[in-house]
Amino acid sequence: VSELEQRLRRHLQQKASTVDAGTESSPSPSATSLDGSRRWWRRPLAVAVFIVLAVTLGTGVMAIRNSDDASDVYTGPSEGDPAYAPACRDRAIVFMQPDADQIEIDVVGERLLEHLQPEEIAYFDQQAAFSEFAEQLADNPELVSTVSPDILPSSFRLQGRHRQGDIEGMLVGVTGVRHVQVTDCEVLRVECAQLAQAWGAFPWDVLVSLGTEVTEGDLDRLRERLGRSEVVVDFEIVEAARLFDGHPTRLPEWAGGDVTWAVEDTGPGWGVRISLRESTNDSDAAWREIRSVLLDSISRGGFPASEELAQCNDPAWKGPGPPG
Amino acid sequence: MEIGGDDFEHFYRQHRIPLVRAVALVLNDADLARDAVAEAMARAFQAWASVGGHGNPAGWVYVVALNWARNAVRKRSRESAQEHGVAVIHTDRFSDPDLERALQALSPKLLEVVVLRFYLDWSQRQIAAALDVPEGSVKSRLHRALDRLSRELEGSEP
Repeated sequence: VSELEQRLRRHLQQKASTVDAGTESSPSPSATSLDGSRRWWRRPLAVAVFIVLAVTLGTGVMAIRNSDDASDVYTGPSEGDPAYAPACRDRAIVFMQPDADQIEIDVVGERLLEHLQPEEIAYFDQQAAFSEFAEQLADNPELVSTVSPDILPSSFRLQGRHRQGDIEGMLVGVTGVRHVQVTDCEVLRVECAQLAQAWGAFPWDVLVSLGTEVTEGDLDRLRERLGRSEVVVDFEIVEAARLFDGHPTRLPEWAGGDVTWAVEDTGPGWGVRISLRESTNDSDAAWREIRSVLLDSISRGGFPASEELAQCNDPAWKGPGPPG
Repeated sequence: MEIGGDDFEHFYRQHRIPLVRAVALVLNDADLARDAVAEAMARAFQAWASVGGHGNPAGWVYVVALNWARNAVRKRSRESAQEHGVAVIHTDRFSDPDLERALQALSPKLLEVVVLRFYLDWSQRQIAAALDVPEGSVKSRLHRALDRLSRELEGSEP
């Protein structure tokens, strides 16, 4: 065991010990009173109800906004495709050191404005950071009472297409900066549909959840790229809530298979079902191409690791086949 | 093996707290970790007949909790950009701030295997089964994680 591994174990144990795991009672009916069982279920149930409502409302809005192309089937590249549009509006946050002085804050703000020309920029001072913190932890006033504004970092919040490395590079040598955090727009998830395909109930090979900030220009670009791909035989862009329609199970059987969960999880946004050519015999090359198409069309970095695509080719993922 | 309420009760009491803490370490959010593991435990209870017979039910709960939490984060971030502010780690609160900073610089996937291996003390095989990836991928991620941590720590030494 290396020194680093020992150090990791010590550190993680120490950090984990600071996590309050709560004191919920067991969900097992055999071990708890009815009241206890009800209490245990209340929170996840409330969360589940919230998710269902959010998805329902979000889907309704999407359906209204996109009623003309809610079930968009590719029919070939169209003339006059829009020029390359911004993939999405990213958010970047530059956190300052809590003890940064006004001169340091001004220097950072001026650099961000001058070099990045963000679509929007806002400065959250320490009091604003504390208000935000207190609001988010409103159900834990004891924790909030242990924090004061002067230990929280102020921050600049930016909208626009910014890469973390660019911002960090621009701020090299600038004092008072603590951390840069960039939220990339991303391909949210790639699912393997081969399990379902093995069951003969679902024709698609790859299911991809796209970010909600994907624009119509992104979708046009995606259509065009997928249409040109030699490994793709067909694809369909649908509302995310419909992505798993007809999907008999998303999880392997040992995991219980949970259709409702799959549908709940999608939320608003878009999804794409991609069917690969049967004649595609180099599956690795096919995955590389799909990845490249998605990266070029939608995402600029937020993409599931290659292992997640590779697992689609793993025979173990396909499961034992149809029951009976 | 008989699978029933007592088994789940035992499983729940043995694994809930370590799982909450592991998910919290990966997500840097204790509240979210508590909710996520509660949700995953509820699902495990519902499907205990199959989950309980699985080789690593804790791995099942971990993956379900993490997926649920990540979806919750996505939804939350769509609702308000401002909510990212609380995710800042105050590295000076830990006895090994250099290592904490190095851990925070890891990608989520690498941090995840580090937590599962060195906090939950799962074997590479258990991690691979839980994450549904080849064991080689786990080995590779661990190797990359340790390599990056070493380099980060070398860079932080005076």
